[in-house]
Amino acid sequence: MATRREARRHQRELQRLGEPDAAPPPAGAERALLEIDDLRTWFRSPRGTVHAVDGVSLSLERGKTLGIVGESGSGKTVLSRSIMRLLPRSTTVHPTGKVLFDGRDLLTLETGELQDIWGEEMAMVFQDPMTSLNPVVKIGRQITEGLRHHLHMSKNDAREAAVALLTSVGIPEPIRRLNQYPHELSGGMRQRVTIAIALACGPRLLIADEPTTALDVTVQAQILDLLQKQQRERFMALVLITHDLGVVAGRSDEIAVMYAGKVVERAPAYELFHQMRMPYTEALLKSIPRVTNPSHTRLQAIVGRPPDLVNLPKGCKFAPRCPYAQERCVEEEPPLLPGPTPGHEFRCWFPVGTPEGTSALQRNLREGRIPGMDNPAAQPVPPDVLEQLESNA
Amino acid sequence: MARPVQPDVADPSPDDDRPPTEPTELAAPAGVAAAEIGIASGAAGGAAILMPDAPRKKRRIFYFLALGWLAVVVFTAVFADVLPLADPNFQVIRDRLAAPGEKGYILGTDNIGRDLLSRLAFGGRVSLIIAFTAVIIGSLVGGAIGLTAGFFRGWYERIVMSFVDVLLAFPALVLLLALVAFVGQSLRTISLVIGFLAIPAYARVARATTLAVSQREYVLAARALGAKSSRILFRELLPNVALPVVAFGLVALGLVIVAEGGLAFLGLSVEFPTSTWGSLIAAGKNWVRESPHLALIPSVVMLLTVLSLNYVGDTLRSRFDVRESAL
Repeated sequence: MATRREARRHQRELQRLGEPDAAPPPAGAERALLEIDDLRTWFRSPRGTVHAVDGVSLSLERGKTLGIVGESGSGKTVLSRSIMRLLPRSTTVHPTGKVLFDGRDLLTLETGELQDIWGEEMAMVFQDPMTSLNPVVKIGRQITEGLRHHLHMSKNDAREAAVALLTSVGIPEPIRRLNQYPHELSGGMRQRVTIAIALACGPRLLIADEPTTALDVTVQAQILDLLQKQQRERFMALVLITHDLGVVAGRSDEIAVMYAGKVVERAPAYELFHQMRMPYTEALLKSIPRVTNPSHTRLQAIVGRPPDLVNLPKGCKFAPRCPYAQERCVEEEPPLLPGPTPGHEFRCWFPVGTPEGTSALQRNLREGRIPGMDNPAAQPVPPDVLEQLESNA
Repeated sequence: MARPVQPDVADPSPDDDRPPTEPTELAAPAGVAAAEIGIASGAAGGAAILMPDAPRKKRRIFYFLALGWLAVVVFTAVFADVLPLADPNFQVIRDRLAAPGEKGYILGTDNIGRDLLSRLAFGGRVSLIIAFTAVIIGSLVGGAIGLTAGFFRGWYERIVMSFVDVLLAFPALVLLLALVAFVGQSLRTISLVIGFLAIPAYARVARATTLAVSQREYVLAARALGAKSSRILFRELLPNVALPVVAFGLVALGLVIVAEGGLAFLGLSVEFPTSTWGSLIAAGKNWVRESPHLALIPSVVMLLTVLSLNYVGDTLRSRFDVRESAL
């Protein structure tokens, strides 16, 4: 068993080394580490088919960070688990599309092959550190297990590596921690441990699914900084999934905004904040509370609820909640349109910041149409929001 | 008498082995102290915070008394041969129906002049052998069935669990009587039969725990790190499932002792002349008027043993629960 696995890894290594000479990637420069093409993950349910991820295309280069933002139920988590192929088999309609990781389509791999990739080449940090560590297993063994299994380290080597890992994620007294159980550590400490476990085998891609949602605000920034630092030091690609634009603001190279299982806007981080086109992105931005506001300022929530993923509206999925919506939006779904700069895409017929968008918004306001009239989202993004997001960066 | 096997065992299956929530919230910050207070499972758990010292000490005394009694029972059963006890089957007709303490018999003699203390010790040996064998068989086989059913799901779970449910739905005493009549009354067959009947309860406890545990994120995290199914089963799930199953096993020991007593009372346990606690009670009931101690003493011994087992089992279970839910 072990020798076969080693042989396979060896072969892969050769492929990786031989790659630049053997097959120069077509046209553009280097091939991206992760390429997702038209990925669809649907679930069967008693009510019908749930379109949790519905035609997502993304790409991520080595060493870069991709932020994925969206409300609860927008398909972020299902997307991340589809990439990892970690969805329960029984209820899933097999995902269609392509997930190319370093040129190999993960969707066609056997479980055995995936088990060699998991942990070793791609790893995941979960939302809740309270439940993502096994309560009856000591921290030390939870870290060394992967090292011994994937990298075939001896017990002592793995132990030393674990101490080094714990030190690098900023855990004091790492040697003592090895013999402790998860319940003896605080939430932030535990999340550091889960990050150490995920990083143990030196993955090239780390997917962090809401890594700070379950933590105190004061600890959140520390954990995000830690992820960023590790990513830079290891030249590792990072997918940072969150519902909070503020989290990804200063920390990602590219941001994809998801809504109802689709990417509705995708752009380099700076572009997204400065030249957003999608009304949903704008609404998300305006729903962030600001310190500079006087107290008792009403928070600008997005009216309505995310659509039912079983019975999706015919046209634009955001139309029922959108202050810019026109008849066309209800009838016809917009495709991904190119934005003002390369690498910027969005799905909107009446984009924010264009003459069509402005006139659509004004028409809605004048006619008092839903949801424009009392919708605070119908006001433009205040400049200080942008300032605040920039100062994060 | 023998009935408790089925309903009581079936009871704690789906929800009971999950950590109780109310005591936990109060106890969580106290850490180790909470574990000790945890002896008062359930209702007293919350109140114990307010009056910490006295009840805890009292409970600890009960706990150690129970442990001590179990130690005495196990010790006499194991070393019955070595201890200065009379032959349990030796009859001194002259001394028949002696009261406790009379004529040098500490617990008196029965209707054909056999030493009751000695019969109790040797009977306890039989009762304990049956109880332990049955519990070990039940927890190993039932635990394995429940663990795999909860992990693999699908058709395997459906087949196995429907078999388990059929067994559970069948009146346990009737099945017990039928099986014993069929396979005979040796110590070995009776242990095996009672063990077989304990399987469904363990399977349900193990499966319920497995279902809950395998939903936890650390199982998904292990998979995301490339762990194989066997590794997840043995390293992630087994240690978490074993704790409630072992705790349940201690309580089940008491149930099996009672079940065996029921069988023996009906004359269907291990054959004459070997005594068990149940057969001593059965034999003593004919002489209740003349010598009440013949039925009373074995009953009290059995009562104390089962009570101690339940108490220790509950205590250990609430300790495990606290540890698990404080996470």
